[in-house]
Amino acid sequence: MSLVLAAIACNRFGYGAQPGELRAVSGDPRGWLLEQVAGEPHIPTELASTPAQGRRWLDYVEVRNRPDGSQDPEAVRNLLMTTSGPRRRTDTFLRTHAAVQSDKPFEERWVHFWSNHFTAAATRAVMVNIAGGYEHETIRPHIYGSFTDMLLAVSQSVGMLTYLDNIVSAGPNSPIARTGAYGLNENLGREILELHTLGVEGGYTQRDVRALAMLISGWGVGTPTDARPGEFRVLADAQEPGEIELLGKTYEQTIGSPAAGEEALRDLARHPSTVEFVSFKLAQHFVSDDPPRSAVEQLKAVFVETGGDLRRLAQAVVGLDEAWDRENVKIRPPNDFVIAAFRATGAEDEIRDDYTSIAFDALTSLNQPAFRQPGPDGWKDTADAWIAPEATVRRISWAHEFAYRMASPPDPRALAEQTIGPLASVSSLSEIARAADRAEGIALLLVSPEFQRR
Amino acid sequence: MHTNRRSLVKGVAATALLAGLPMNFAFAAAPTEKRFIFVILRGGMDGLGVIVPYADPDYQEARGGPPNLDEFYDGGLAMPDPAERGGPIDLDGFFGLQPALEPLKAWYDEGSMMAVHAVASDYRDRSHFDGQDLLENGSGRVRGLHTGWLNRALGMMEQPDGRRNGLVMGLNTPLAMRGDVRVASWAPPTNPDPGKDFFERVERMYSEDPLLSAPLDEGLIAAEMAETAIGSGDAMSGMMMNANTPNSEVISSLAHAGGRLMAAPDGARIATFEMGGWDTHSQQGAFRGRLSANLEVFASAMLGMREGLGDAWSDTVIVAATEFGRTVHINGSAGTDHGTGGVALMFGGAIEGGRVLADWPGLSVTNQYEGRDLAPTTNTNSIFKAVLAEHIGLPIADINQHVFPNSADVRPMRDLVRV
Repeated sequence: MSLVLAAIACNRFGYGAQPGELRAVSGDPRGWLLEQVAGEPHIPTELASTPAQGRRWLDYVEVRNRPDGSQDPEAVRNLLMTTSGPRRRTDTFLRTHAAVQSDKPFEERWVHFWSNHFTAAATRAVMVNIAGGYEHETIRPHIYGSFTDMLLAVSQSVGMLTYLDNIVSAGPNSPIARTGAYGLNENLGREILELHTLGVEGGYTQRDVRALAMLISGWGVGTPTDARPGEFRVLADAQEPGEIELLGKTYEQTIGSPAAGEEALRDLARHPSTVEFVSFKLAQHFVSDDPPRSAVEQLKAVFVETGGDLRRLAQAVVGLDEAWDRENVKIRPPNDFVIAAFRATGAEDEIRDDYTSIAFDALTSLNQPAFRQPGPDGWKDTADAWIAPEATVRRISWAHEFAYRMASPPDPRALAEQTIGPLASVSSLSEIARAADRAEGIALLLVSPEFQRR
Repeated sequence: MHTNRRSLVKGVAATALLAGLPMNFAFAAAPTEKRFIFVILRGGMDGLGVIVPYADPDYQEARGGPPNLDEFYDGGLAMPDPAERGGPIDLDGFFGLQPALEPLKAWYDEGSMMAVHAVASDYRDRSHFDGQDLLENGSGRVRGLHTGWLNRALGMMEQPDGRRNGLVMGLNTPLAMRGDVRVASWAPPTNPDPGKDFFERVERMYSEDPLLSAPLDEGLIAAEMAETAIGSGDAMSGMMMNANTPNSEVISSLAHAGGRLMAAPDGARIATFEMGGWDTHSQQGAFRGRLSANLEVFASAMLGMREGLGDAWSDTVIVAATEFGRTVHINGSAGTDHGTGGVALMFGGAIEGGRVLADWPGLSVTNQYEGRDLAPTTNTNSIFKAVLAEHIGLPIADINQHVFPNSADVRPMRDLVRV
């Protein structure tokens, strides 16, 4: 029975078992998960040694702007080809590699959940350069702190301020807007309310969108000539002055300081709609597409009681009885599937030369390229977003090719035992056992209904 | 279990082998020759920047004056007159076409392109995700239904065994196409075909698992259809497709292949095609900028689709619509924020084109919706209803009951379609 729980721990909370992991975990599956979230956030050295977001942002800005202040589209194209494109491949490799090799896969899932909740995606030239840095620099260090601190860090990060255009937002009554240089941009203010905190049904209006945009107007990134280039800065001349009312509360802007905006974000982070919205998303991610109310309520209670302590919420997720149901109900999105395939097979060692491109191309062709969410609402977390005819054929075709690229595939029956074994149906196991050769057996294991779920 | 199966072997030999087989034997006759493609433009396309009301007396001021034509995007969003550099291509003396759509101007002139302006769905808030949900679910309310209106329309069409009336051009099924009726989807393969034997093994493994077996069956049927319509060893094989990052070559190839699938005598009759990149909060540009760059991709997609459709173009209606328009005013960062009224574009040999239809609300501040957006005067669903009723031939009473429930007050627009 503990092997069943071990399989649930590895699949539902992690990225699938590595060979030998089920047995190692079976003594205390819950304890194994809780231990993963007990310490400080692990920031893999290889990730930490890539350039910081601010540096990446400056790389782009310095190339784009000619000395006379005009812009150079040709140089940007060149940068995309020579620097940003390869950098995104490297970022993808390092992120995937970290999850494949991790002995704390639940922590990796926790990082990826939050970087998706606070999506800052590589959808524009400048963001292609930045997005990888944002995840390990802004999200990772805050995964066990408070939701408030995470929200503040995100809202003052180079990645988010750039992605949602706040670097070019000035209050309508600010000195900059009065000169006509530029004015208010609602984008970040709206998405903080809709996607990061209250949720779209959280009870705010268009006036609140503008109010929050005004409260954080002037929040941007230091330019190459500033005192702190590439870092968060408040541009006083772009701040909306005076009193600003958000959700019925009046905030007084302090010019030169982010204090009023920060106070508003602190209030939003504790708002009952935020508690509901975030708790629901967690339950949907770790329990089921349509999570039971009881699970959501338990998480809400922990959120309120701890002031949104993310470590306590991670523990609470592990503590949900609903998350330990034997039946696998969540479909693995492509990112999880590809990582799980590498973890299960140890193929990273087998085909290391090709590894970068295999992982990168797989995520692209399966429509979940790393750091490239289609919109600020992030990747969808329900099966209907991922299970479609062509997408299913592609998964199967990819798994087949992946297995046949392995130089010496392991025995598929033994591997099935070590990954989906305790949860596998008779028909899956017998189909795997009847495969024509080892590679085909591995491919069948990877596409089996049990491996496709978590 | 299936008579149709993805072909096992690739290459010249396979093509020759297939050419000798009666590939259509499993397909029943098509119930209609009429085709309808719903192009979903995600992100909120700026209608005023695409079909430009250059002659509106308030246009110049409302859009922040003229652009700086020497930069990629700079200055205001108001285009000069058509005769001037950087101006739109005149359509009817009032509206003009963004120059990036110049390749489609000939269609307008021959009557196979038109625009309906100042349109919006029933959605009046400004969330992309809710706006798209409502545009696609067809109930008039956000999350009012969990199926798509196109899928419900398919449910009212004859469903001969062995073929699919519905086709998703792309990897994932948009809400508009989700529902009880099975639809095919197609995107170019990116990995080698594992072969028939392997798929049969997988099907056995999935036999007790409808969530996985249904899409697999559909995917294999679509692959078979594609093999017939497009042929194996097509140049698209191995091409990376990602609708989120529009790329002219990739997206026009997909549109081309989708068109060919629909052109086949036994091909689909209703399809969706998606394109993102319209959320131009910054660097939008009037003449050149992020909007014109995206429009160039869009134009190449439409050209590819028409080429793929071939003679079936004359039986085709394409409607390209978005979840909402954008603010009339330029925002602080050379872009526009989420708005309300926008434009829907129509293409195809079966439309009464060559016109811009609008109950034009005007651009003065008092005429703007909430003092910021183009006021909507036409419901997007009235376009869809007209196409379903007059082009596809579904009874309007059924449309009002099942496809767009509780919407009898939204009447189909007249004379959009050639009958």
